[in-house]
Order: sequence, then structure tokens, then C-alpha cells
Amino acid sequence: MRKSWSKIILQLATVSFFVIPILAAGENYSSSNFKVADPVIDSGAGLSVSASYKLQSSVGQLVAGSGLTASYRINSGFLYYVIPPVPTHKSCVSQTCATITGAGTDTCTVDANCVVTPPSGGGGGGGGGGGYWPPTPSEVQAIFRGKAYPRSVITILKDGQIFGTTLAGDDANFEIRASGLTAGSYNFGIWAEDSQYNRSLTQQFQVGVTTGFTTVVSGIFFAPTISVDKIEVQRGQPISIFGQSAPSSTISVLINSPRQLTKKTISDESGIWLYKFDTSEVDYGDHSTRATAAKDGDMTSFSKTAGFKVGTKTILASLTPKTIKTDISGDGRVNLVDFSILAYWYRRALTTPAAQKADLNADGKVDLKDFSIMAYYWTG
Amino acid sequence: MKKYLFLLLATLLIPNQVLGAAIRFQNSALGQVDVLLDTEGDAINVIDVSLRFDPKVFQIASLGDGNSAVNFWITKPGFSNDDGLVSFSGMIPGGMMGSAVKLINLNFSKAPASEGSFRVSGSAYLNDGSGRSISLAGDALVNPGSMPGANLSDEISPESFVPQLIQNDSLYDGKWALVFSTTDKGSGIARYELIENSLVLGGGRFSSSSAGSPYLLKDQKLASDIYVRAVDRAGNVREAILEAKNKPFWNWTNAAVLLVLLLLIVVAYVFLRRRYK
Repeated sequence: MRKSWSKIILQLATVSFFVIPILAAGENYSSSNFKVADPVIDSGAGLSVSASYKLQSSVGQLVAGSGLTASYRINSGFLYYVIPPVPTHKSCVSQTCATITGAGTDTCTVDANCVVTPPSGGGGGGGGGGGYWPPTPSEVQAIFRGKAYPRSVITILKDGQIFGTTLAGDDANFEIRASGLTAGSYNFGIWAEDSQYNRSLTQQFQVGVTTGFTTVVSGIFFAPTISVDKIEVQRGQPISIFGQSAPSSTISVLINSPRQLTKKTISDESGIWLYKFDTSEVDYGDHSTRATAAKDGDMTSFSKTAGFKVGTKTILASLTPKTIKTDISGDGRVNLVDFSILAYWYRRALTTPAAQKADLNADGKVDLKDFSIMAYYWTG
Repeated sequence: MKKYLFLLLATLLIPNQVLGAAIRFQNSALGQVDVLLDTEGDAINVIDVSLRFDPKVFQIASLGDGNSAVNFWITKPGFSNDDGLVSFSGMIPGGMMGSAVKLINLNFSKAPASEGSFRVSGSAYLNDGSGRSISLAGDALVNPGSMPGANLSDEISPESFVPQLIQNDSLYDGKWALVFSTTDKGSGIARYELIENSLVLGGGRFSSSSAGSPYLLKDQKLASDIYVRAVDRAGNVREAILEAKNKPFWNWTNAAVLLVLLLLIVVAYVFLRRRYK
């Protein structure tokens, strides 16, 4: 009898040896702001907190994929919460919604001008859902508001590196928040990408933020994007100058030639604008054009410059996206990676691959001029 | 012909540098002196500054770049009291325009009772994609004010950051390298420390107490966890961890688990054998 028991125990021990998982942790998650290393799936109320996120444990990772809204991202099974910023307005008194206030109906229409008071509890249950966390009184944030292009992607850079993105509305208005900051001075850069993937110039702001206060930068108005349909045009033939701005904006198109010309047009509901320029108004040779936009008494700075030649033949412009020479790494962005490569070659003798890629102005060396060219095309 | 000659001469005479922009000093609330850039209405994206001073008149105790508008240093700010020189160059992505763009701050251990001056030279590059620059030349006046004796008070760690692995044929012959950068809102970044901790059994560990970016990785198989620490001038630390891209199965953790299990089996076997002998 004793022998049979010992056999059972031995068998159980052998089986359990194979059952014990060597690695019980889930897959790691990370973003530019945080990393969840070796997450353990449990149904407890564990809570991890850092300066930029809060993580509550969940009951299981049932579905692959992630959900994304303007205010949070959720990877099924593990819940991520962007800590809501400190409200800058009082809650709307007329706002009633069961899911928020605990009384009323199950549906909620949120007034865009209203900051809703979050509930006191944490987020949803396992496997999905999400929610609000109460605002942290000591949180420091900055808000940027303005006009870009309808449905354009707005990217915000913090100290030269991408901090977040948002979408502009159909009216081209956008608002983007930078939260989870520490008190101090930051360089914020904001740029927009139009429907044709043309990028605006980066608008730069040096913003000092203080604990417990929200700094609001408003009135941002991006200069129009600009392109031409021909790189060379036969004199007397029209050339189309076009781009995108806020809807119903007055676009002033400047033709830079010995005699500067200014033409005007209006952008449509999608913000698209077009001006057909009669090239018989200018001489043969190289010319360039740039544009500004005006709306509701507000005016943008100048756009980027687009060049064209007036000659004896017509050559259409390529519709393929332009590659940026300053993108040394070829990843479609001009950022820390490219800066690091340039910094490595600064004042060094260039090898052939380095001369082809890092010498941005092709003067045989990497100097501060190359850094300046890179800074102009920076995307973060 | 004369027309073309005139155009050629005009082109040659166009100055590569145009005058404008200025460096000035301003006593900050902490008793430090901020070195500021007045861009005179131009957007500036790269600066290159040398400040010369008389070492018999001034002695610099420390220098900081916290809250600087410069996000990426090309030549890190440094000073020499022997040579009477402060120099630095850096980049502001997207450019910056303003009358008081902060570059660095200085703390003096010796300064005259009244106003003194620094000789400024260098360039500020326009944010127009052309690489054109503006000359920075002249004298900048320093009023000692509350100097000397400013203390460096900073309890805030550098900003969080994410190191990135890169492999590019124009860098280190296409070998794997690491790039990293962050800022500090207090005293400024003093240095970066880096550890490559190999997960391969017997793979070893390499550390550098003063690593620069880009950094050529010792472990080209990417089987090491990499720890990068940004240390500010007050000693506050921010650490970023980059996990091994190629984790070996026979790493220390798995080996330890298997060893423990084998030990348990041996113990169980010995125990049972003794019991039923």
C-alpha cells in the first residue's frame, strides 16, 4: 500500500515537472513613455504607477490586437491609461450621463467644449474596456490649439522627439495635449501632414510649464502646403500651383521672380486650393513660389517654397512622394537616428557611404551647415 | 557680356554670413547667469558660440544646460578657466525665434564687483534649409549681481528616454549601434552611463561610465540587455532599459530554473530510494 502511494507521488512530481512553465510572464509592452516588462496575468487589484501611466492588472489576455481613441490606447488583456489632465474648465452643469455621473441614461453625448469629471474609480474589467483615472493634482501639462488642414495628422515633438499625434477635425481645428511633464522649459514643435502626405513646416514653441498649472498655446495657424504640377513649363502654358489649408481660406500665392507677383485664390471645403498661373507673365528661367493663408482675421507665415522653370518644353512633376535627403537612415523620418549619424561624422574624414548620405550640402565635409539643413527638415 | 559679369560679381559678393543676432547675459533667479540668444527676428536652428573672458577677472565654477532651448549638443558646453574660454555648439530642431532664447547658464567663483565683459564670437544658422548663418560677434556685458556663490539645486531626474538600435552602412561599417538622448530641466545632463549585460551563459558584462551617442555595441549578436543611465549635473539619474533583441534560450534565468528542478529531482530520488530500501 505504502509503495503504491509513493508511486503516485513520484508520478505526480514527474508530471508537475513538465507542467511547470519555465516562463510564465506575458509579452512585454512598451511605448515611448513607458514599458511593461514581464506582465503577470492575475485578477487582483494590483496597480503600477509612474509619472506617465497607470497600469491595472486584468483577468486575461483573450483577444489579440489593440483599440485606439484620441484619449487612450488599450491592448487587450493589459490596460493602459493615459492619466487625464487637470481640467481647465468646470464640468458642464447641463451634462447628464449615467456612465459618467451615475444617474440617467446609458448613452452620453459629450459636449466638445465641456470637460467631463471622471468617476472616482478605476478602469474597466478584464480583457478589454478602459476608463478614466482621477486627475493628478500635481500634473503638469500644456495644450496646443489651432488650425491645420481638414483631417490632417498633427504631430507634436517634445524637445525634438515625437511625443504624440492627433487628428484635426473637418474644420481643420485641432487640440493636442502634452501631459505627464515635469516643471521646466520645453521646446515643443508641431507639424501637420496634409491629405497628400505633404508636411508643413514645424512650428516651434518654447514653453515654460509649472506644477499645477495648464499652459495653453492657442491661435496656431499652419501655413498652406504647396506643390506644382510641372518642374519645367513651356513659356505661355499654365502651371498649377496647389496645396491644402484650412477650409475657405484666402490663399495668397507669391511668384518669386525679378518682378514679384501675388495672386489670390480661395480654398474649398476640404481646404484644397489651386491656382493656374499663366507663365507668360514671367521671363524664361528659374522661379519659385510660396503661399500664405488668411482666415477670420488670422494669417499664416509663408509656406515652404516650390520651384519651377519656365523654358521651351514642359516636364511634369513626379507624383511619387519626395525623399528627404536629410533622412540619412532612410526610415522616412528625420530624427535622433539621423542626427547621431551626422554627429559621428562631424569634423571627420568622410568614407564613401558617409559622403553620399551624411554630407547634406555636398561640400565634401560634415559641418554645422549640414546640421542646420537637417534641423529645418526635422520630423522627430 | 557686361550684364553677366555684373551678375557674377554680385553673386560672389553676396555674403555667406549676414550680421544680426546677439548673445547677452542675464542674472537668473538662482543667482546664476543665463547666456541668452537674441535672434533679432530670425528663426535660428544651430548655434556655435565661443565666449572669451579674462581669467584674472572671472573664474567659472560650473556650467549648466538645464532648460536650454538647445535639444541636441553637437559640441557639449565646456569651459576652461586657464584659457578663459566657454564654447559650445548645438541644434534646435525646427528653429527658434525670440529675444531671450536660453542657451546655457554659468556660475562664477570669481567675478568683479562691477560690470565686466565677455568677447563673443561664433555663428547662428538660419532655419531656412539653406545652411546660411548669422555672425555672432561683439562684447556681452556681465553684471555680477548676486555672484558668486550660487548653489546648484536640482532634485529632478532627467526626462525619460528610449534608446534606439540602428544599423546603417554609413555608420561603423554597418555594425549595430545605439543612439540615445534626453534633456534635464534642472542642472542639465552631465553624462551617460551604459551597461551591456549579456544573457548568454559566460557572455560577460561590459560597462562604460561615460558613453556617447552613437555608441558602437560590443555585443553585435544583440543578446544583451542594455541599460543606459542619464546622469544630470546634480547626480540625479534616469535609466532606460533596452531588452536583448535576440534572447538566447540558454540564458541565466532558464539555466537557473532547470538547475533547481534537476536538484529537486535528485533530492526526491535519493529520498525515495532511502525510504524504500
